[in-house]
Amino acid sequence: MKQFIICVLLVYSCMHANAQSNCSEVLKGLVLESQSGLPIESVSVFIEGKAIGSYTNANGEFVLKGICEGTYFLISKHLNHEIKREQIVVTNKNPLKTIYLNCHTDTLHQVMIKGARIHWEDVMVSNKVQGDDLKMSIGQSLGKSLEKINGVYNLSTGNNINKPVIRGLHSNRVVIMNNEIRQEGQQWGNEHAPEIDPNMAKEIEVVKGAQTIRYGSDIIGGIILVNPSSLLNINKTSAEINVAGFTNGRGFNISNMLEGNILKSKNLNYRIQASYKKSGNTKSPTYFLKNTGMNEINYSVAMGFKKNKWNVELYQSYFNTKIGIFAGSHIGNLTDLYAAFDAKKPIDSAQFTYHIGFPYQHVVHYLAKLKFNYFIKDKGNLSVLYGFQKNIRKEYDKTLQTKNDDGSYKPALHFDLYSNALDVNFEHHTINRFSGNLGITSSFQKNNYYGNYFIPNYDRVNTGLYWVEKWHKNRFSFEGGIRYDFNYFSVLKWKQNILTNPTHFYKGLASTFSSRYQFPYFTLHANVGTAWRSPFVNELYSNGVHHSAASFEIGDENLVPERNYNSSITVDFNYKNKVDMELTFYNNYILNYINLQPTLPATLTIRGAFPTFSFSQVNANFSGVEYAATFILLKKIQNHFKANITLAKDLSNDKFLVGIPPARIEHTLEFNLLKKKLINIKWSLNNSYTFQQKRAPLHADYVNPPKGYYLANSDFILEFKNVFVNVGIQNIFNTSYRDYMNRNRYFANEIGRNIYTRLSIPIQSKMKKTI
Amino acid sequence: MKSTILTTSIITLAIFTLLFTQSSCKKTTPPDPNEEELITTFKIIFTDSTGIKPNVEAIYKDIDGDGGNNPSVFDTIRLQSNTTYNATILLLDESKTPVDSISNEVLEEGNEHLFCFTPTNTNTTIVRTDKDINNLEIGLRSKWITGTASNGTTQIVLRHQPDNTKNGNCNIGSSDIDLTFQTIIY
Repeated sequence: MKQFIICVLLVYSCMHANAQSNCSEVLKGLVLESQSGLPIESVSVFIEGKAIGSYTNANGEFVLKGICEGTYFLISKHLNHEIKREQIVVTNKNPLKTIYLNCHTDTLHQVMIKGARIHWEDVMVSNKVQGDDLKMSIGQSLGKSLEKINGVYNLSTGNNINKPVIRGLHSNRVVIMNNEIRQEGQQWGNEHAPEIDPNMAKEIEVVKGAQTIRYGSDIIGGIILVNPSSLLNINKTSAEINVAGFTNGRGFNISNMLEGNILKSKNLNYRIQASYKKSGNTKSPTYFLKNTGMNEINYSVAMGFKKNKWNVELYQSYFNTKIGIFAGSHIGNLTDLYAAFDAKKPIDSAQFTYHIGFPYQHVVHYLAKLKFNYFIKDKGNLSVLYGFQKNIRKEYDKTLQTKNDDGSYKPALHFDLYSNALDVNFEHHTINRFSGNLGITSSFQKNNYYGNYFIPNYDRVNTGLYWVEKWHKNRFSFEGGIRYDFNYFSVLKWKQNILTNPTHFYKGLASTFSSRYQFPYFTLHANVGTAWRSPFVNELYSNGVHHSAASFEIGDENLVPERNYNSSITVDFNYKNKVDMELTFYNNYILNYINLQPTLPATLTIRGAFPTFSFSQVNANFSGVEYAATFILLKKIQNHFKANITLAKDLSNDKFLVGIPPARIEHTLEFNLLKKKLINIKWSLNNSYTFQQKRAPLHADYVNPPKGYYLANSDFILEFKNVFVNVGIQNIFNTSYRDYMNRNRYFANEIGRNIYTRLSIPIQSKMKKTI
Repeated sequence: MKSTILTTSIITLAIFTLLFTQSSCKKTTPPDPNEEELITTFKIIFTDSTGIKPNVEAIYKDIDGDGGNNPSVFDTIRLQSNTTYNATILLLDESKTPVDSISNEVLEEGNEHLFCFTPTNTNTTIVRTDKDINNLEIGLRSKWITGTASNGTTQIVLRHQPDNTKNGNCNIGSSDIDLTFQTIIY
């Protein structure tokens, strides 16, 4: 893809280069390292095709003299950095040119805040899980692999259902982009994990808070971007084999990928990827957790075709998972819940088995994407993207109500969700230092249910218009965006034996502003933004017993959209690659925050009385601090430290909110045992402490948040050429603990010691890489 | 070979996309809630083992299921003192025509169900009198032996104990029914 941009730019530059007039112009500039923001000495800076060049001094400064007015390519070369080629326009008055160079990838990891440090070259502050961090996630769910990021937790149901929680917010408040398509599952449900295979990703990026509105106006908590590597610059056939095995649950994961060119054409590429995962009953330190096995099979097929001015991408993926729900969490009523909580260990005992019994979830997610890109000469890049998704969720329960006449069981809950999305985006070329995107997103969604009523059938239409601009000068960058959205729901539901068709229409404006300033040794980011989210159908219309929570939930069709006002400041400090620190303060005020509130009286049913919860709106505030740092000790030892806390409050009632992640601190010692050109051996020891959540409301939960817990993990990594081997152990001391964010905390301890091994082998064809 | 596979996959993808888009355009009526299987009614019938004293019935009825309207009937159990009653439990879905008797399903799955009775502050002894295929008690039929006059409650719980977990113990499984009847022994 880069090649095309360059091609287009070349044509552009040729046209302008002829317009020579004055040949005594001066270009002054500064070369900084993009990782640290530090000046780089002895960088060779020259103009392509001209005998004009110079070297940077100790302050990273350079001066080029005697240039004719025109458009050129400026090349910056340095031994330890990637070569950079960028277009410049030389006039009779040239501003100071700042060039950022990336470290070579092999030196990139020298000093890095462990587990996806912030990616601060952009105006936005984001965290990325990539490279070794991603390889060390093989066999984990998407949610689990994101836990490496400071401030990201998981709302879990047992060990296999993980929903990412960003700064205390989750579900409908966190948007997930699955290969540029907005993931549409039944994400409103607390026990509905994202239907994405992380094995297909090249990198997973998390943008916390309302920093970007490009992908939606409803990013109240944050956005997760799951990106596979580009299809367009595949030059040769290559494959990758990833294998992982775990002792706890006797689980294994296989994930293979094959990519290459079709018909020996560099313009027509493909990629096929498939993975399989299986695990049996997991074990807490002292007992097996009954019915906690799972199996999952996923694949994706992709194709890309490129021409000079356009390219097209086709992608389809299939995700199929069957997850056992811990038998002890299946309760009939509140009495059962208290009995389960009082029991020292689950009454229902178990042995190891791969068999998945009742209750269980079976989810199939199908996604297809068609993207067309067209480069408009001198103007920019136009892309049209169509996405289709089908999500089939079946939750099985063995009860009198779900038994078919033939003795089999029908799903207690069954939803089919169809989503269509059409996005048109135009990315314009830099004009007066402004570069940006404008576009339209639209989606049409349809939900049908077949089992018991929990949410109604509905059609949803959403249309949004957005415009995001970036501005950059010297050490200062700025990004601003504005977006307007319409959201229409047409609901079909039974009300007292009459089929009703209520409709809802919501509209609103979202906007974000971010800026970044580069000081010597540190970078300052500041962001303000506002987003809004329409109430979802579960908040409007749910009505029924939520069995896993032993509560009766009632929606309110008169809810209004919630709106947040988000602000954050991040300081990133890097001193001579010996110290690397980042510190973030944020505040997220949410007006009309939709919240489940306990309501009297309790609902009387044939299964006993259930506490009643109804959806209502309050004003809430979420604020917090995230800190991460790395120090080098004795050259070969790295010292990583992470800490974060979220403080949330219901301001309307002056109460705490339920389900806010507790504070956590984490420390990792990493020893570089051997570092040679071909071989690299590391060993790390990780200690973390999760505090007890003391800021929990009284009488809104059945039991108090569990005590704080300490965990120790260790990893050994061997890299030989491109082969990656990881052997590790989680929960070394086999500690018994319960986590506040796991819905199974009422019933059972978390899993105990787990020893695992991971292997990643890339296979490259011998064909020489040609550029 | 490779290209054949890929060409095929593209065509498949195109067809699938078309099919799914088509199928997603149909307007679907949600399932009629009346077709959902419910236990709307719990009925317990007491007959005097000697046949002298009149029969007694106690009913819990919530026709529209969980939530919505409150239960329309929630009787008090009134039994005469110093009497031995034979009790029979009936579970009905009265939202259907004809009325569906769910107690038959409980009986069929007797080895996965257990009724548990807990009298509080009443002089009553309750003994289950029916057995499942594994010779474990079910509780659809029971014997209630009343003592002297007293006032209290009786909790009746139906425990669902699937996957061969039933061993006669009440704390296993989950509750399908949990009703606490006011009880008067006079």
